[in-house]
Amino acid sequence: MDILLQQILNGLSIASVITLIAVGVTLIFGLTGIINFAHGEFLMVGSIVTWLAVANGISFWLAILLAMIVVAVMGFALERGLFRFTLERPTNGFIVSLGLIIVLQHIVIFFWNANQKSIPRPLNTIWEMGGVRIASVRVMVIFITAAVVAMTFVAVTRSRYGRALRASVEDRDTAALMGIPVRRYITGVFVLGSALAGLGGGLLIALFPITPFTGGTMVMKGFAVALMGGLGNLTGAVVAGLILGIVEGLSAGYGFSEWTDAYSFGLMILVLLFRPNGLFGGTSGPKMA
Amino acid sequence: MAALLDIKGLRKQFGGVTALAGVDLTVNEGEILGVVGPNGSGKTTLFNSVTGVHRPTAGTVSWRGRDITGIPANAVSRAGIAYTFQQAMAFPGLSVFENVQIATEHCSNTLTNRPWTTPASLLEFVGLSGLSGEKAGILPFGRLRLLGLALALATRPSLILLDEPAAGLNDRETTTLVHLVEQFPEHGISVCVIDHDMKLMQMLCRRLAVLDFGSKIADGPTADVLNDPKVLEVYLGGAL
Repeated sequence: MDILLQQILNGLSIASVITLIAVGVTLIFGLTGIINFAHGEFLMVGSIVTWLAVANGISFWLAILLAMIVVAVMGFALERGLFRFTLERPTNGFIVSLGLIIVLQHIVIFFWNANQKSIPRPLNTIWEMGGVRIASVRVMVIFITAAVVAMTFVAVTRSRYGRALRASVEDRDTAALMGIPVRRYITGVFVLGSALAGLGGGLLIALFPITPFTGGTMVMKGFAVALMGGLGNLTGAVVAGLILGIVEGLSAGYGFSEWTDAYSFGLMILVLLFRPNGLFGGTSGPKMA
Repeated sequence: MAALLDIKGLRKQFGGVTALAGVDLTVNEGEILGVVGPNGSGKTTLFNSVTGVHRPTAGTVSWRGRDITGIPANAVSRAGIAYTFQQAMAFPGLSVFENVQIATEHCSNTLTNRPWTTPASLLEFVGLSGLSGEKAGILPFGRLRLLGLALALATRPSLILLDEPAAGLNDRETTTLVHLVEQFPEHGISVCVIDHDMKLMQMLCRRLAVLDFGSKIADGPTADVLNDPKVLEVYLGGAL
């Protein structure tokens, strides 16, 4: 039981980072139909920014804020400069994102080489409770993610901008006829999704060392989570992230740690077999006229 | 009567297909204008080209004397032109109330005062108050149409373009719809309506325009147009 709790906590902390990616992937897909596989690289850039900032004596908290801002600006630039031209054909956007993976990885390798990078743990305390060892840094990651995801959720479900966003996801043409500037929402979603990926990157490097290739595995899981929840469905992404965290924790806790990835992807396959639209039902992307 | 919407020489080509071959059409302030024509005569393309769904190939659209040719759909909406699609138009995953709320929130024109400014008053006007908490996706087709009308009204338009508003409705639903649309002019909303249903058009419109193969072949008082031999020939196959 003790070990179990600890493993679930471990699973949830990694799942937090994955959920942050999944939310970006799902929002961008919902509005544009673009599957942005470079989202993992956005996260990796967030890790690199955090690493550079901390190495230059900036505090971790400021560093993750910086990572969010830098990646958000990057997302803005890429949407305005590249993805904007693929909105009529989302498949092209997907291909552009595949190219971006290589470009972003190699820019990072060119300047900062391909070696592992890590930062000192921002929180070193380890709580001992009845034999359970809980690393405070993991709890921090879970709490920050929960808070940010909750804020995103409230904004999307309660604010006028969130309502307009959901309306645009459902039907871009009708939304435009209602006076909603859909193009600006698309840019906004790229910026928000990128900021969340930047935050995810900052949190990830607080947990583990990263390399310029870390983005690949993370985006695969982020995408799996988004699919499991139903592409385009924010609630779905969050719940699926939670499930993934618990499943990964359990599988590791019961001594199958080398099978962790197989469990999460196996779960995804099962979910999609029985509910092809994901647990909460997704969209199939915007209707193309 | 002043011209509200003035369309001149509007052309729209899809590849080699000419959907609109230079159409002139004026909608006057306070009128309900009907546009009829056989399938493929360019009626829907006409609306799409005015409202920014398509970009016209040539020609101009002016709105209260201002050139609005080819401006994007959200700008058209802001200028005060609302449009209801042929298909039922609504956001199915959102509640009926949220649907109307979105339209009221994002309407930034303050052109005129309208009797309906809140989502609740709009829903009451179209008779959907009792369903405001339901998801729009579960509404039967007739109700969905009324919701589409509420959405269009929520943008506080001065002109509403209705694309086959009665298609798929039964007689009772059609009567409800006609009753609602008839009230628009007295609230300062002009109407331009496309439909095949001649009975509906005769009930609603005092003026009719007829399109055929992308060109306007008649335009005038409803009774005259319906007796125009050219119209009878083309539109009704000469069988009337």
